[in-house]
Amino acid sequence: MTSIAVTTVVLLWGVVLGARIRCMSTDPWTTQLLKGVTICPLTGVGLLSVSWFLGLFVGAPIWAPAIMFALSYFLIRLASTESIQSPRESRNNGSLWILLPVFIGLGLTLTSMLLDQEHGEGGADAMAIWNYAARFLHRSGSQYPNLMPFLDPSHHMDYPLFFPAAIAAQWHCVGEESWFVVQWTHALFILPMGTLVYEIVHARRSACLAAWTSAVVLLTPSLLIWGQRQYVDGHLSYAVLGGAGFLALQRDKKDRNPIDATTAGLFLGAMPWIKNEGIPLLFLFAGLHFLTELKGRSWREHLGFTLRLVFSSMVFLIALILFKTNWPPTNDLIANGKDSFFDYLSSWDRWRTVLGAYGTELNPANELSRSRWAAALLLAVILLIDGLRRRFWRLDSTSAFLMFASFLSIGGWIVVYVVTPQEIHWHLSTSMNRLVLQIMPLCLVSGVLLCTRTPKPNTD
Amino acid sequence: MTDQDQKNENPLVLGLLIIATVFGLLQMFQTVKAEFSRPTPHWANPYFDDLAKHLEQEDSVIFMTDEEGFKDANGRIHTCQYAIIPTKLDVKTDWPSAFKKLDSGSWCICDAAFASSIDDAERKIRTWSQKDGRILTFKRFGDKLALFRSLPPKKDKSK
Repeated sequence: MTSIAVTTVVLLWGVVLGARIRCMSTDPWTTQLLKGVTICPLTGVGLLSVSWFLGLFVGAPIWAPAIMFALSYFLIRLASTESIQSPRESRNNGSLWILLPVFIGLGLTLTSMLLDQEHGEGGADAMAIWNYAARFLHRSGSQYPNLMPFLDPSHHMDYPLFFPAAIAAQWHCVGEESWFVVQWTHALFILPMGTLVYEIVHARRSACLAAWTSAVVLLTPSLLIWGQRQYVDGHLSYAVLGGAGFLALQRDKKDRNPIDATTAGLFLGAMPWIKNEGIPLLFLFAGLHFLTELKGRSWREHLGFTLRLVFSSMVFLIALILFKTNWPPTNDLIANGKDSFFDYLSSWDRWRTVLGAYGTELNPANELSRSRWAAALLLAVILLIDGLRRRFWRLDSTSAFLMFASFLSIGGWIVVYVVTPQEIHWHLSTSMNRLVLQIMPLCLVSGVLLCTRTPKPNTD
Repeated sequence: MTDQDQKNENPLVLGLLIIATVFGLLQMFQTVKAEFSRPTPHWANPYFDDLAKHLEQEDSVIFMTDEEGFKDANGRIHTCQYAIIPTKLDVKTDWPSAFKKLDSGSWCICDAAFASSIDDAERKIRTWSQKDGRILTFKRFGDKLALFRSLPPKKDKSK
């Protein structure tokens, strides 16, 4: 991809694609706007990164955008067939409660950009890994595949290119390596996190509850600070919630919607393209889905849904597979042998260390913990006490799926630390709070859904 | 929200969600305030542009700094492209190995990351150069930055 026009067209195409996929129902315009805001940054920035990467890989730049156009057109067709008016959509009646997460999201976006004026270059990992990769992609151009093997492994060039490639493409477009481009690309995802939480909770609960839940998620200091420092864990948490959330909404027989199936696929596919941690989470969620999916659905319905899911996730997975199979720097977490893996797994000391570190991180009495998680911690304690007080949780199919997805994610991240080949204390101290951030919105949303009742469908 | 929705909501959870939001807002306010008052890093230096001009014709520059890097007068950060970053390692034991990488004779920009002050940094660089008989070009820019190049001794062809 060599021209400014092509870069701009791909970005706009991605945004329009997102809006087109999500806004095909008969919802009020406010709801359609909400749905557009929720997904447009993902499709816009995501497609830009994929097409830039494919342009480098294919070597014939014009083919990359062409492939993306064809794929995304196919996605629109996929989502638009059999589009139905679901009972959930009739409840999304354009409530003004949406203004709460919108105002908080806009306020935080502004705050993030103001913070960037002071410290706009990002944190240490952003400089050494993410922005380094972006600079490398931008400067090396078509030489990228040839130069890749010579890079210092300390820069973790095995990390996926969702953000680096999208930033490189925009730098190419504006003609300089502008920090503003990096900052706005990251800040772009704050508001969609709020609207995503709102949309998923509102699909099963009232707009009021959805609005307050999204406020709590947005007001988690870790989400703002790591995003402003240009780490991508907050962005991964957005994709994780979107992937698991839209899959969960498919559990209700009356509420199956091809639009949501396509959206779930896009979010799930984006997870591993944003960060390596998305790969195990993708397998966990897909495994959980297909295990429970086999029950209560005809093979025809099952096949249709699966195809939508797979095809839409392939938009991002194609790039990931090409990246991982052609330039496969070894991930330091899987560099260890089989023997040490099982040795670590059976070491009680390692389990105790990891669980202790999680306990310290999430202990509300710990001042550092409060400053990172604040409202999220308070909400978690509230939900736990409330759930225990009533002695049972109300398990509908959506809540159950999200609950299992949360447990699997938490368990997965504990195991990762137990088997890490890195020095365990160093690894925990440098990354655990960011791994908690990756699954925090998912856990909170599932907690809120578990502790509240499902309203009866609106018959108005 | 319909009346039916409101009746079916768990009022306790809703009320506590609002409390959690207010608590979150207060914590967020404190966090942002702390971020804004984070001191300007030591590398902010108006002399950097002079350095940059001097180095425009060089193919590569080694930045001898810590993970914070250098920031020029326009707010641009210059770090990881060529930086020697002693993250995750003991700085005291890592700097000697960093010095070894300077054998190429590239121009280097340094701050006091590996010393107690820029004077101390200059002293260390001179000691290191003299030890091997290297030819040192050293120029100070203000009280925080220095530019230097240390070339290997020329071989005596008469021998």
